[in-house]
Amino acid sequence: MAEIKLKLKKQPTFPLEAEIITPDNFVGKTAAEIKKLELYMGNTVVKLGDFFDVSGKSTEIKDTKIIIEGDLKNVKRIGEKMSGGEILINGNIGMHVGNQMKGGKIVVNGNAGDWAGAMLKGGELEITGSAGNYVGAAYRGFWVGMENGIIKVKGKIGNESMLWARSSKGAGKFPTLFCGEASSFLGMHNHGGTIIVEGNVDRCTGADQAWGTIVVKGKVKTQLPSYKKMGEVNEIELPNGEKISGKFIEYSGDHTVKKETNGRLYIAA
Amino acid sequence: MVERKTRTVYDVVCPFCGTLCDDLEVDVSIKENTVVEVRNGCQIGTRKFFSSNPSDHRYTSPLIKEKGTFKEVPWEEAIDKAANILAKATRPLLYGFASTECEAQSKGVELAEILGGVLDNTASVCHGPSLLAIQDVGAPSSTLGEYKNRADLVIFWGSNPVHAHPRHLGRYSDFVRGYFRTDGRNDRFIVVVDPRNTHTAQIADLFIQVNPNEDYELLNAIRATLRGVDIDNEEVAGVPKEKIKELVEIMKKAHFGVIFFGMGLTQSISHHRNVDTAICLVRELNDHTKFLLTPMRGHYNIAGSNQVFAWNTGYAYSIDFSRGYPRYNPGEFSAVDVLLRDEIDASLIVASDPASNFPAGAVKNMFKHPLISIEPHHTPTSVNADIVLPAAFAGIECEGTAYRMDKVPLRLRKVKDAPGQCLTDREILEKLIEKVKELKGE
Amino acid sequence: MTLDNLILLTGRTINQGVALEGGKTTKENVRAAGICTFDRSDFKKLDCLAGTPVKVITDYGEVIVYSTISEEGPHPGIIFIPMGPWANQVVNPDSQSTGTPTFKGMKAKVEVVKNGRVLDALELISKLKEA
Repeated sequence: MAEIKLKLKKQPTFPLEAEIITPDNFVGKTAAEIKKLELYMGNTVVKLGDFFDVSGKSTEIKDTKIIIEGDLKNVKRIGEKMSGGEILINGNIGMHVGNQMKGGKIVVNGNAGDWAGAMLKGGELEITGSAGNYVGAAYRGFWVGMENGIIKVKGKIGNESMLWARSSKGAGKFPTLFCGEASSFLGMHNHGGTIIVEGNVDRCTGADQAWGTIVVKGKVKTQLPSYKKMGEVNEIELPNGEKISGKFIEYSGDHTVKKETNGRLYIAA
Repeated sequence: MVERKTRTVYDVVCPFCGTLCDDLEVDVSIKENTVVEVRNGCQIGTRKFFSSNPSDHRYTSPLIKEKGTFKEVPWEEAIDKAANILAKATRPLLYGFASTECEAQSKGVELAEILGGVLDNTASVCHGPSLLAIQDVGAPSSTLGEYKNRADLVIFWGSNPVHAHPRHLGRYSDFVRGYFRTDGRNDRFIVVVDPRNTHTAQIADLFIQVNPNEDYELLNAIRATLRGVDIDNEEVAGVPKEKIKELVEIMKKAHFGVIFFGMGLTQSISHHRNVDTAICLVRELNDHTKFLLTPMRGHYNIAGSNQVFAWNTGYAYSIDFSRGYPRYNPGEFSAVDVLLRDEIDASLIVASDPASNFPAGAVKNMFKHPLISIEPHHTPTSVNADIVLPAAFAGIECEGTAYRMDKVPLRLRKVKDAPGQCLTDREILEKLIEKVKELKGE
Repeated sequence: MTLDNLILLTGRTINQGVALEGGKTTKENVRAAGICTFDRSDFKKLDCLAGTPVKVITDYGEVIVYSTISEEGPHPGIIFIPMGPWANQVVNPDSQSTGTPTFKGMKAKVEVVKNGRVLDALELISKLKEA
């Protein structure tokens, strides 16, 4: 892959809005042209070259790999709406990484801020550390959040992840989240999303879930009263047809939404 | 001929809380231009009128802080210095806009847009979560007059009106006689849900003591029970299953129910999701009977601030103008959060007191940068400011529009003149806008 | 004496409301908002007179306030500090990305104060201003 290397040379004094950093925006530009690209820091326009050393170039979006070094916890919106190619971030990343991504892959070797992978439409977002609140969630006022794609967070994620996620069996779209541990309100207002937690979750898991599948391989701190125990299973079939084996207790819910529901929550037995 | 020493202003709208009582009578001394008596107001509203009288707590001229002490300066100098600070800032915060009238709030929007800063009002620490929930699931609501006339079941959830909205019970929700509630208190069933046996709970018909931080679970259990599901738990959030079933029956059998909710839901963990599920409950109750809900807004015109911000920008609070157009995202652009992250390099605080009401960590960061305070009287914010711009009390010394908690607009009266060199919030913001525009070369 | 495993709530009271309109920088305000209200049976365990200064400690800070006995009990395990600068030393500033700090529901611990006094609002807040 054609690599474009960015290295953070100084910390921005105010959050840097870097939605310009995507394979789609970098393709066909020289390093000098990339350095001249404009970003907002507060209400002031700055140049990408003011904050990053740049080298390399690419000619095709899907062949582009952007590698960024540095602690980017104050840099927002990297990877926004990208359609292909790859971004590798060796460091922490700020809010909104990979939001509204349509394709391609982002890997963060560090921790991510809030709204990581928000409104994802496709592609893959991988975070080796922890992530903030609203992973794969809908933005304020939207009733449809993540529609497709995969998010994997090795560590712990914050609250309200996969908020308003919506799958479509007919279109073959199964938005999926894998995480190490989760906080509260995982799968809030879930409409078909698939969520698999390797470890423990906090409270209110699956709140207001209309349909979808949530699997918790660890322990649940407290369980919502509106979920009803159905029985024990040895195998779970996910919405996309894949299977998970293991001993789980199957719960139906969220019964506040409907008296009878296809929504499911599985907790390791 | 008897010479009148005082004049009385009738139908005065009280500028304290979201109940926005409109029946106050204020006597003003003609010679002294001071408030002499207030009738019909509650303790707090009455006190506010009296606090507008001249005292050593009242600002009467613009102040600039030099070497730790305030120096009186002419308006032009103060506005000049303030405008310079704001115009040069990369990320200024304009916050407050709750205890002032709508025209001033509109000027605040204009100023924030020109500065490319962050604009927020006190909803972000109060009923902001309610607005977040309403944006997700709507809000079946009505006006206080309708509740007064029709409601036979009134539920206060996480709200203590005896302390926070003292005349609410007497004018709209409990003791008052209504068109269909001709027997007043006896025609109503009052329920209070709260972790403490508050003074409001002590005069209710049914008190449900919920565990702190577990309102969501209780509302969730009530909704499931309402759907006809027999929940597995014997107890939820400290409330026995039988009591939950009893409450659901009471709600279904009401002719017209209303839930008034407050900080118990919005300031507890899970904030807006508590309100979300309460709204869904009310919506689902309409399958059985008539049910509505209304948030108990704290400040007398915070609802107005949300209205004005929304019709100007599309958003009610926590707005960022740094990209040249308004963007909304509480958590990212909310005042406390931007301060905790130390993302701000100057603040303009209008009609509010964040030094008292923000968590200490946010106040600490706010104090690190230039602070301009538009304020009628001494507050911990104004006392620590670099520039104080003395304002008239809206609703006492200046007319304007305010929106009640149920979004009904009422006209505030001017009862007397402001002392000294005070200007209205609107006039002060206009002067700042003019000077900032000049500095930015527009 | 110490009390542990408490939950701290904060909020409005009518006295705090009257005091804030009367002047947030006054002594009246200290008596209205610089207090911590205890459930009667909890307070007995502290073994001190009502009005004794106590230190309230949470994960987010600590503050010394006057102790009082609740008129809104019983609520064993719950303590209440009216909204204001004293409460704001100990509340959870984190909003979980919603914008609103978590002013209610913090785990708290209380100690009777041997050395220390209740500061007034200006003293308390001026400590937040670095030299």
